[in-house]
Amino acid sequence: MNPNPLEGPEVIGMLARNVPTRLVDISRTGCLLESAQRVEVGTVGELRLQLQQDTFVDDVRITRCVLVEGSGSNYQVGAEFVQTQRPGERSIRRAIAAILRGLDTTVRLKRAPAKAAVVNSVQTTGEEAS
Amino acid sequence: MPGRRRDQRFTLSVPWEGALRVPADVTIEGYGDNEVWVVSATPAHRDELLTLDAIGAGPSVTMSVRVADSLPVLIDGIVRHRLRLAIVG
Repeated sequence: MNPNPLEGPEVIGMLARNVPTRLVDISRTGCLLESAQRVEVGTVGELRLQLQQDTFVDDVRITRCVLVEGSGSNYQVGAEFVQTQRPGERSIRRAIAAILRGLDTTVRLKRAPAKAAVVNSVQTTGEEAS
Repeated sequence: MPGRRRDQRFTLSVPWEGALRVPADVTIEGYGDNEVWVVSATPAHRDELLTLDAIGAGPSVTMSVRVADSLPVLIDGIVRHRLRLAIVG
């Protein structure tokens, strides 16, 4: 069947796909995710993370995507937070900051081991603040 | 290590599951019975479930769609992909 062509001004759309992910580790400026799907480096998207009953959201840019050897199709995906606006109430960055300050005691953070910090490192532009 | 994340990393005591929503602009070519044709810069996998926001003169409409076909086409000398999307919700 052929489509009924649209008349008048061009109609645009936004087609979005959802890539299931799991958070491996996180820092103030980025995070490492695991995914069964490859994600192109440079992709900008919205990361939504579910913690208990809450959903936290931030925009991220994919900086690295590596197939984990011997895992079939499991990818480690590095992402940096796109800091174009103030973190909102449901921001992942804000949630992490609250956990680090001890304001949220339902979740504990522990420092990632030094080895993991190297193996799971994420390429960035180098412009982020330490 | 130059070019690497410099901030201290943390792992969480409970797993955080979620999804990365990756949007892409498309041009909507037309509608059929429970189907939409769009032109995209990237191909899609058949049966992949996606979300389409149609933005016209009126309020935008959001629908869940399933990729029925994805065919490369040449438009103005550039390879694009014509997607036939079945509306599923």
